[in-house]
Amino acid sequence: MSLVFLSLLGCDHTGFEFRPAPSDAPPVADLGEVVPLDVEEWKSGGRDPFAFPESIVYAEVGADENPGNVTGATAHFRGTGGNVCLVVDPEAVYWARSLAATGAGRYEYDDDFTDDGDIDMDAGLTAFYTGSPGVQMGDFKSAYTDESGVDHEIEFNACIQTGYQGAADVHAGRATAEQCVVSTDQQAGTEFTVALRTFSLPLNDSKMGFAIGVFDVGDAKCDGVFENGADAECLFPNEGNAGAEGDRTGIEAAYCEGAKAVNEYCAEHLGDENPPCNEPTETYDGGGASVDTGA
Amino acid sequence: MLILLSALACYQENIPEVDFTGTVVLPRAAATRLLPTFDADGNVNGSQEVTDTRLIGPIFLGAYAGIDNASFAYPHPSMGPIVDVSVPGNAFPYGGTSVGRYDFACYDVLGCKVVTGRFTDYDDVLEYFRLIGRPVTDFDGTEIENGSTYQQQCYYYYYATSDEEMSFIGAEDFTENSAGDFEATFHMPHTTFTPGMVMWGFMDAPMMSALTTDNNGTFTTCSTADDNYKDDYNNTYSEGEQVPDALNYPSLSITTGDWVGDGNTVVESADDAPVVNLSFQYTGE
Repeated sequence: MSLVFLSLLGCDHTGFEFRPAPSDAPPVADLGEVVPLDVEEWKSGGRDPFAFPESIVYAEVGADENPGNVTGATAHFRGTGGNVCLVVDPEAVYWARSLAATGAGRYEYDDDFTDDGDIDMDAGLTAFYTGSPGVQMGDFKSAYTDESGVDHEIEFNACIQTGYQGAADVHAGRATAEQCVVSTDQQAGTEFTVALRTFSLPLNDSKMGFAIGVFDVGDAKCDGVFENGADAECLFPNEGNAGAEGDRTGIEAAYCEGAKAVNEYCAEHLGDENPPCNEPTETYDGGGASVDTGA
Repeated sequence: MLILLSALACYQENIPEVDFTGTVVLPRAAATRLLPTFDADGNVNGSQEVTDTRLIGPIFLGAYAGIDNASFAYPHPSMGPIVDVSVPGNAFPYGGTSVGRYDFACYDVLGCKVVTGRFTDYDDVLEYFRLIGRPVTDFDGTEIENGSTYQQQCYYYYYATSDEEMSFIGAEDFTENSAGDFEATFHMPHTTFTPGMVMWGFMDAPMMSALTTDNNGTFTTCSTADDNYKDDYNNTYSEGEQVPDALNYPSLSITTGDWVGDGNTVVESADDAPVVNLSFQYTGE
């Protein structure tokens, strides 16, 4: 009897409410060919992402009817013969609130994490891509059968995302830009595919805006794409609205100014219908105790 | 219930993994090097040929699908496709092991220079490095002249209380066989057995010169450039560590003077006790 009762408890919810809902954003998008932008042209153009629509593309992806299907987008570019820097920035902006009560540059308010998505990049020769652009996502894995008939998995992904310390194969996470360098040495003119795989969609509307930039950096890496010390988040503004201004334009701009601007912006917009920040629930007094702010 | 549980313990998983035990054989020439001789002031004044098992570097052994005799100037395991033009194809070993491994022997000057299974005691280490013209010195540059001082430093460094805790001294791996060559037993655990696979390997020979001793005793398969750093007051140094993927991309590690397997050790049965001959010396392209 107790077993029957326990099994009934397991049926009290389906979990469907936690699934992203399909929307007008395609679950698998194909952005077509993107032209690698000469990094010197990018710098001399004032690093204006809207001035180079052939190289910096804004788009959206959503959920699939079948939650088991991988969603995302593809883009294609031709090898330059040198290094190509890829940067993708998913919606919207994320910061970690500081628990410390004092200190310059600390964020006082919680980020609204429901507006954040996460998307990761793989890239390689199009010939090795296993997906169907615009229809089904794939990867760059293949099998090699050795002379004894034993299969080994081979990874043809040439885009190794790097972290703050240069560590390889890093995933920056929620709303944070990713970057990698793909060598197209001896492959000038050959088509490469970038596979942008959705890791998570924003919880608030189940669709994610993002921007991807493709840069010809010659023999260098991604350094020249960014201004010295600039946060990669600030490279492509308004990615959450596919390039148009929206309710996260202000907080993104404030984030790129610094923590003080974020604190001020959050204070002003907490009462908005769709506020970009959450009120902090506690802070840290520096003496070992958490302080309830009463929010 | 007990019967049911005991039956479960007999489930045959059919995992094709085999623990192999075999023998690696090195020609006498692999342990014979031209070493410097010194005058009373410690200056190089000549050379001498020395045969000594302490001159045997770490040996890396792997099991592979086959041998490729065309791509390199020495027998090399078969490779998969080249994905990155700057890196050779992955050799996809079915398993691997080593005879001797790098161990930090208590002084910064010994980082990446000491291999386990080559030295019997502290004095043996000190005598070897004097022999090759690189006497062991402490962190202040003072030469260590006796084993008891060395032992004290190791106990201090590793918070140890017995010599059994020192991996770099103890029983030697290699013995001389009737032909005058040197051989050692190896264990290659959890190897995915495939009939017809080839056991192959290489010995990273220590750098050795009878003219200039600066690099004597160093190895190309060990790096002090990354990680494993120590900061002890004004001493910053690396304990050293083996380079990664030595069996997946062996050609990145094999340099002139190293001894390479002949590629003739074919393993047909899981019960085989393979003998791997490292009889090919790579003398350059």
